[in-house]
Amino acid sequence: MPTRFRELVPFLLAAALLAAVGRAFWLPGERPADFVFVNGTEPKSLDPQLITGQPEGRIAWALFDRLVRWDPETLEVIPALAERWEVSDDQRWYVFSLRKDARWSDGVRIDAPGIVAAWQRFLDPATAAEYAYQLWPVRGAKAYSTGLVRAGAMIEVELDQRDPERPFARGPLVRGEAAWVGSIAGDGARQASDAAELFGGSDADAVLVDVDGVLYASPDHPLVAAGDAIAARAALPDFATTVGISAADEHTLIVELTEPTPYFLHICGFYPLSPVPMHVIEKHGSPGWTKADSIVCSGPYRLHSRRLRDRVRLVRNETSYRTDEVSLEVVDALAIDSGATALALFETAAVDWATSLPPFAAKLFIERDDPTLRLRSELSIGFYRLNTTRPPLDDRRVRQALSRGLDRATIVKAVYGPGQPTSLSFVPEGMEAATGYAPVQTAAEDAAEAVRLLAEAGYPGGKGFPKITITFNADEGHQMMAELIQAQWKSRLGIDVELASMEWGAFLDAQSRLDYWVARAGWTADYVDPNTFLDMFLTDGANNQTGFSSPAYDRLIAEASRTPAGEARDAVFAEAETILMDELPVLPLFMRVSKNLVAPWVTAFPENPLDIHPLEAIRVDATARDRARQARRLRGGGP
Amino acid sequence: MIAFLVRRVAWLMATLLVVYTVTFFLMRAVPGGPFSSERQPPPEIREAIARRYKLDLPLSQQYVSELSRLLRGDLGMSFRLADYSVAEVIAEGWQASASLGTVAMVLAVVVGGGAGVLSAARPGGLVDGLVRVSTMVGISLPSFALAGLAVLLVVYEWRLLPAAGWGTLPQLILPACCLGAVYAAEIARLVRSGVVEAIQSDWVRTARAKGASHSRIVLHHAVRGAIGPVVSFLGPAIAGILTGSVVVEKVFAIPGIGYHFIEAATTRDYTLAMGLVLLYTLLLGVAGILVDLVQAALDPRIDLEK
Repeated sequence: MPTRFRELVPFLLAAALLAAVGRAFWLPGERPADFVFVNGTEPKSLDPQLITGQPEGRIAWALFDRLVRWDPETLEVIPALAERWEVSDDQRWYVFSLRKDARWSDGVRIDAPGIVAAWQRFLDPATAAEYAYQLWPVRGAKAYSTGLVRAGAMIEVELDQRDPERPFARGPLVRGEAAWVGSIAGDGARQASDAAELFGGSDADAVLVDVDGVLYASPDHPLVAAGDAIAARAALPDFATTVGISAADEHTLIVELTEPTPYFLHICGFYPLSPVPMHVIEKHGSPGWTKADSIVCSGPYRLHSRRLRDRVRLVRNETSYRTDEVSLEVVDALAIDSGATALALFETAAVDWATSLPPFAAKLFIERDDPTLRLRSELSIGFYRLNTTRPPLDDRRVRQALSRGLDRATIVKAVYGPGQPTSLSFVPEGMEAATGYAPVQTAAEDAAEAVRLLAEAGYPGGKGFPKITITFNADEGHQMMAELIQAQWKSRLGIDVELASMEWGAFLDAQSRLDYWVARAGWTADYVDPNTFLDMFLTDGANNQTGFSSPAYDRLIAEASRTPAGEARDAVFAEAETILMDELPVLPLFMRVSKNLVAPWVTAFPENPLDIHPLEAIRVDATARDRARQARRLRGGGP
Repeated sequence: MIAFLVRRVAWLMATLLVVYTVTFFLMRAVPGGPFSSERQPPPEIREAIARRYKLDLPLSQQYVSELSRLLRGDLGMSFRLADYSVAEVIAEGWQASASLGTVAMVLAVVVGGGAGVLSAARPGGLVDGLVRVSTMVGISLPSFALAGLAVLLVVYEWRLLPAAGWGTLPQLILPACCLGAVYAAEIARLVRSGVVEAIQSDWVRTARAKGASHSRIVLHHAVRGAIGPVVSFLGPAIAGILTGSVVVEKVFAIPGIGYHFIEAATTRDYTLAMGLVLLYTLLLGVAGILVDLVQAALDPRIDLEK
């Protein structure tokens, strides 16, 4: 190697080092945030229609307004984009009157036709929104969101033409009755099919539809090239005539439901139903519109910047009609999913709120009665699923014995410390305070009765009981709970149980394939209504995953969905939960408790059983915060 | 030289294809998928999502369509970070990982190299003893233990440095030290044994006979003999350190690609995981080629054409 080049190497290295460090730390004029919180894992998306998780939700609640809001303490439905609404006597028609001063952060008015278009996008199968089923109570919404097109139905065909001004807008629509749906073979033979999928779908390349004598097919279909069919991007049920969502005028939105759905109004306040800015999406496309320089927002905050797996920075949205409610101008949501790291940041006063903490720390904080830890029972249940399709768990008496042989209080206290309530009902107790529905409990602990039931099922003293396994996803707490339950079943019922810890993805997969005996699980309310817990166990329900099937139960849940809210409906639910708590495809164990670490200088921090804490309602004593930060300041300079 | 490069690049391409293929089928053989969730949507929605992302196609068809997209230079959209393409994720994460890695590597070379030379200068002395003990500790201590210990002492006990985060210089120090420590220990060990061996060689004895001072012998003559093994070690080490450290990035909440990699694997983010596996393979391959070139430049006995 020539000497001169070798002499340059150290300098080149130093220059590269400087450049790399400089590049990483070049943050133009960022000021410290007024409020910093640990938000958990990196949000999947900022698009409120595409997300399902809590970290995503915390951002979406701040960025996007909904038709209605939930009171931050009581969760009662209160006006938001809709300033008032009327519900028909049969609870099937909703007329929302929108406020006239609602605007996107770019100044564009939020009106009823815009909300219809946004909900249409939510239901469009091409959007692939996981929560689209939240709108299924609406007439025709399910068929639209699953893209079902049948001959004889009114359909809309989206032509494959783009408007250069709005490159991501839907193409022009041809609407009419589908005269025929099917495929055409090379020799011209027509094969009618019952339903066509999206043209963009994988197995739908061959499908054509005939509207008023004209054939439409996906752009790469051979008949399109031959000029015998017109290129179309999608064929869906006709939204305007088949789906019960429409705008009567600029400020009136009308929604028609298939059945009275008492929780529908509540769902209108859930983040997936947030209207999205169609004028921006049509210009930038998805996910392009979620970038910091494109996105426009409707909530009390707007997006300032986002760094992957680092932070989402929110700033007060001056164009929101609620902007005066906001006290924290700049808020940082840190993407940190390690509980230990979150705790270290909280203890060094680098964050004002941590949304969770590791189990070992939780126990410590509870035992020393630390005032920064806010415990609050959630509408959330920790339970075990029992696979009712596998012997011996297919015997109801065995399931009952497993339940009655458990001393829940001892187990739950050992794992989570005091302050974690046990549960004998599947619907958490908090539901009674929230809706008036009193959950039905399963029979309480009774070891002698458990032994008797087990003997009746053919396993006296546990003799002959096949070896079953408790499956859980790898986690210290889940492991400990399974060990305690294993020990109790052994000592009280004389049965041997094995434990299996699994990786999260594999665990979920095993559960949905019913490839387990006993599996740990948890469920949190989507909306404040017993239905969010009880409709899980409909026969073949996506979240049933126990093989449980009871026609009587299915009938009751269906009846409840037809019954307007009130005592009669609660009685139907109670009857259903009685069946569930007698059949026991699940063993309810404990009510989950939200554990938030909130700094002492936070003066207002609204709490509710859904663990939602709207940022605009949080208040901070800035003097106390700065004093505390000063006192705890790091000698090496804080973040 | 040219023939060498052509041959190695061709091998690298073949390796990339094999790694891609194996990873593709392994990822999909693992149970679960990018849309697995504790909260399952109804089957109709699941099917619509699978169709939308072409996950309902037979594996062979998926493989062909993914590979042809890759050959067009498109790594695709991330499943789990849905607002980003894989290229965007790598571009953003790379900055953090590369900055952290560069600082850590420079620390490792300076501290490790220095300690190795000092230690070899007086074998069996006090400095040598200290260095040998700390390199043993450095090599055998897993990085999560080291990082945990560092947080306990430096952050909680002494309150010297911030606990985590990314964006300021103080936030860089602790993770860079934790990440660099293992490499520093390894380099110190290599340098020490290289220098000690060289000191006993004939040419060093000749230099000594000619009247060269001990420090000149160690710094000028013996160190050169130790450079070879260090360079061989640095090649893959640089590739490894630049692609980020899973543990250090997670503990200190650093938005680098090591963190993305482990998350992509556990959440079955097929596209992101594939993109990162390819990146890692590419870096390792390129580092290997560079090491051979540097070795050849340093040591005339090595002939690249063979």
